[in-house]
This record gives sequence, structure tokens and C-alpha cells, in this order.
Amino acid sequence: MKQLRENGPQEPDPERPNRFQEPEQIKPAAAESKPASLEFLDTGSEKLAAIYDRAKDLLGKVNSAPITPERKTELKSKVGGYIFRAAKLMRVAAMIMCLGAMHELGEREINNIDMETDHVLKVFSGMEGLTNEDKEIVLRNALRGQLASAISFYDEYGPSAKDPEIHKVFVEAESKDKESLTNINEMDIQKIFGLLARETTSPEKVPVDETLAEFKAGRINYDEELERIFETRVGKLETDKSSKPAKYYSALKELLNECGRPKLRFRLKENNYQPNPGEDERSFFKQNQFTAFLDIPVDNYSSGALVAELAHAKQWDAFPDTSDRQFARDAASVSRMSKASGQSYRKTYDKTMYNSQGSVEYQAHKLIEPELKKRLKNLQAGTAKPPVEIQNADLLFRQRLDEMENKLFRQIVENSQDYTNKFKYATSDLEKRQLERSHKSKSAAIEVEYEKNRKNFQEQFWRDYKMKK
Amino acid sequence: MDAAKINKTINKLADILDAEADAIERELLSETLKVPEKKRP
Repeated sequence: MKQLRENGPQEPDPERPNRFQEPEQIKPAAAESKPASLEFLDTGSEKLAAIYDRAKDLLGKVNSAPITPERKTELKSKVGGYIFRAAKLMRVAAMIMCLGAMHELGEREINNIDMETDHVLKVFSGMEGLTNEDKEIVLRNALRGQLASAISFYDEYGPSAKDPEIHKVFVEAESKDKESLTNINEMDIQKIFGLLARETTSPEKVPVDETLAEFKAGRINYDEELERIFETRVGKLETDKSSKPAKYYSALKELLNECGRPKLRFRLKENNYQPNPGEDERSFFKQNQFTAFLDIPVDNYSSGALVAELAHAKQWDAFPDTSDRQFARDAASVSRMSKASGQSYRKTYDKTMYNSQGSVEYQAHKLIEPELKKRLKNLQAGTAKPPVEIQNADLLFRQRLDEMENKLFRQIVENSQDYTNKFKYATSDLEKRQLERSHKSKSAAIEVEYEKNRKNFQEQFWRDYKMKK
Repeated sequence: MDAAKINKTINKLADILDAEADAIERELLSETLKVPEKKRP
């Protein structure tokens, strides 16, 4: 006792593992760090090392103990058993750790968004600027249109622009082949940009070979040129630091996750020459790729386009089948209407679809989009409520339409089967002709009746819906 | 399985092993502390 009082309380030996230590509290894994279960690979291996140290210590003690050799071998075999069991138990622990890590990694995989989508989100929330690639994506389509004038420009100055390389570019451009234009290498793009810059900004056209000479001499900086063309053609993107980008970003990310986590891409702008008819100058959502193609947000980071396309993602995520079928229906009715009115498909689509109840566009932009906007505000403010649910009236409407269509298909199939059966046993040409005629008139009648029923149903459904409301 | 459960399991296994090592040590100590009996003629 005296000795103890003199020495004070004994310090714990740092060499020796403290087996009475409380298990450490586990912190939840950060989004970008390694899984929490993998962190225990470190603690696990530490523990294993401690066990082996202890075994070594025990063996030393046994060896130096004043006991009989028989007893020594007995104790040594006990220490051997200890080491064996340690290895076995630690292997089990390692397996458990791996399982935990796999589980966690799996979860993370689901929650992950790809790098490009993340970049688009960051641009929208003002955390990142546009890269050269983004600008090229935006401008490349503008190039398609501009190249047409560049070709005539070449024709005008043809004799002076005999550089074989640039000639190749023009030939490729002249073919207006989408593949060859998207595969042009960087040098060619630089040349075209140079040409465009000279052509669009200077009052007098500068000959091709002069521009080329400037490029070759390095007097034209590609990055600066790109920036300048982007500004003149699209606009200047100001980074908005006032709206707390990090918070906005996390709100957008949360919203993206709630809408089925679609991919986000910047889309081609200013289609002077449209590569695909049907695509126009707006953002759009491609349901088969589950990707929103977005305009670059030049007007003060308005997330309008993003939220609008997320509404489509939400729609297709929640009800892929009914949305697909409705989209086909919309397309059919739009093409019918455009034929009748003589206007283009796109114009008719824009005019009618956004205001007709039951259509894909109506559901997305009139029903889901306002909810998503509210949701984004709540997420930003931190007053999170349960996620947005799609209204059921539209869904019910579509399901009823699905039933009607199924009936129509059945009738058509029965009619054609009946016709083929009778046609087989027809004896004379006259009979065959009569059968053909009656088949045609029957199928026409079926379709007319379907159209009538559909129209009546549509009107009545929404009338009832309004009454109920 | 979450990280807390894994940690608990590993600690439990380590405790079992520690107990075994303790038992061996105790056995060894009892051997060494034993006063050797005088050999009787």
C-alpha cells in the first residue's frame, strides 16, 4: 500500500491492449468517404495484432516459467489453440465486415449520380462554371448551321483557301452528316471556330487563309475565342454567390433523387440546322434514355428548365407504362390534328398538348411541376415534407383509356381473323371482292366507334372530375 | 448489417479470445506461484 501511494495510480501500459475498453461510437459514413464497415478493417487488424502480441508474451512467460517441461508443452499447446481460434474468429469478423461493406457500397451505388449529372447540377446551383466541353456542346449545333454559310464563304474565297486540311473540313461539313460532324477532331473544331469568329464578328469577311495563318502563328487563343463566341451567341454566365449554392445544390440533388434520379445533360442549342426533326430549341426529356437534356442556364440560374424536365422524370419513374401509352396517344392525336390544320407537328404539339387534360405534358407541367417547385423551396428552406405524389385522376383516366384501347385491338384482331377464315373458303373472285369490301368497312366502323367513344369518355371524365372537385 | 453491429460483434469475439488468454495466464501464474513442495524422504 505504501509503495502504491508513493508511486500514485498506475498509468495504463500503452503496449498492452486494454481489453476493458468500451467499443467506440460509430460515426455515420460521410457521403464521399469509405463505408463505415470498412473502417473496422483497421480496428480489426489492430485487434488481431494485439492478440498475436499477447500470444507471444504468453509463450515467453511459459518458456521462462519454473515448471516442468511436460507442463510447459501442455501450456504451449493451449496458447497454440488460442492463436488458432483467434485467427478463425477474426476470419469470421472479416467476413462480417466485408458483408457490411458490400451492403453499404450497394446502397451507395443506388444513391450515386454520375459525374456529368453532378456537374450539371453544380452548374445550375452556381457551384461550378461551364467547361470548354459544355460550351462546345452548346455551340456545335450552332456550327452546323453556320457551316452552311461557311461553305458558301469558301466557294466565294475558294481559290485563296486551298489548304488541304481545311478543305477536308469543308467537305465533311458539306455532307452535313451528323456522324462526321460530331467526330471532327479538336484542330478542325478550332479552325471552324476561328472562321466563325471572323465571320460573325467582323463587319468585313476575313479570308480563310488569313484566319488559318493567325491560328498557325498562335495569335488566336482557343479558350478565349471559345469564351467570346459563347458570349456573343449564348450569353455570359454569371456565378451567383448570393443564393447559398451549397444548400441549393443539396436541395436540387434531393429533388433529383426523389424524381427517380434521371441523368442530366446539357443539350445542343441554337439549331440553325436541325439534326433531328422533332428536337427544337428547348430542354427536353428522353424517356427511353431516362435523361433530361437541358439548356445552359444563362438567365441567372433559373432552375425552371431543370424542374420542368424533372417533372417528366417523376412521371416516367412512377408510371412508366401508362406514361408510354399516353405519349403514343398524344403523338397520334397531334399528328391527326396537324394533318387537319396543315401546321407542323411541333407547332400543333406545343399549342394543344400543354393545355389538354390527360396528356403527358399537362400532367408533367400543370400538375407535377408546381408541386416540385414547392418541394424545391421547402427543401431549400429546410422544411422538408413527404415527397410529392402524383395525382390519381390522370392515372385513372389513362387506365380507362388503356382498357378501351385493349377492346379496340381485340375487335380489330377478331375482324381480321374472321376475314381471313372466310377468304380461305371463298370460291369466286366476286365473293373475295365482296369480303374485302365488307372487311374494310367493318374495320373502319370499329375505329369510328372507338373514336366516338373515346371522345365522349374524355369529355365526360373531365366534366365529372371538375364536378367532384 | 450496420457498422455498429459489426463493431459489437468484433468486440465480442475479441472479448472471448481475451478471456481464453486470461485463463491461460491465470493457469501459468498458479503454476509459478505454487510453493514447491518439499520432497519427503
